[in-house]
Amino acid sequence: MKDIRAVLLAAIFTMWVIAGLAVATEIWPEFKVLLTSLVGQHWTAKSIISLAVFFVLYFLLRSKERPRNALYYAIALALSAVLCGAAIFGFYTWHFIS
Amino acid sequence: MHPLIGLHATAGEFGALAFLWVAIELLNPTESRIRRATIVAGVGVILFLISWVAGGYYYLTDYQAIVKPVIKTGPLPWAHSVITETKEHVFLTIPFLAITAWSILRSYGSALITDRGARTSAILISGLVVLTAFAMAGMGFLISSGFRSALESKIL
Repeated sequence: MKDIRAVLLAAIFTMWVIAGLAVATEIWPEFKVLLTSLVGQHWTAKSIISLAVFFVLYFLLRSKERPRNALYYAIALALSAVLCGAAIFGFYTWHFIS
Repeated sequence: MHPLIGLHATAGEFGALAFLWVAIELLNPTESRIRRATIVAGVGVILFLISWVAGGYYYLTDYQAIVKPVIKTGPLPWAHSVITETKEHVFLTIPFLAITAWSILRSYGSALITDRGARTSAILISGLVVLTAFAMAGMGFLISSGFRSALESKIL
């Protein structure tokens, strides 16, 4: 995976998909049931979906140009990872308290 | 004690150390340091994939059937409801961060010596991998504590 812009964009989007899946399966039990029915366990389905999103996006976004501002994408990825982690922790804390 | 937990934790911790090594190599890069960092990052990615499979298999089998119900009826139910739930999702981000850091090294190669932005990107993401992986270890400790306290409350 040598196209850095595509890798970074795919990783950023995957972070948010993981956070979205975590929250969505708790808010909509039907969605959790749907994921479970696909592969037997919703966590396995989330793992497969996140892998698929990452690699499919990478192949869709590939280009031969190397980005001049890789650092901006990297900062966006780091912020996305931290925010998604905080959102997941905050959501489950709220879910437990309430 | 479960061998899969040992494999999960060991692979995860060595994966974190691999990316700490990568970040340190890139602070003052030379061609040989970048070559070494690229190999170490590749090994780190493999270690995180092993940790993912081992931890995932344990989570889906023993944890769900045995550990989770015990924790939830013990004195620290948040160890599952907050910590395990967070860990099982945040963990998923680590392999993608690791693959991204490795890809930057493979793509730029010796150009990292002159391209400060790309080098900073690789250090930033490697550092994030290290911090997230060690946060997972801390969460693992809390989950184990939740399980132990539940067992202790039944026995003592």
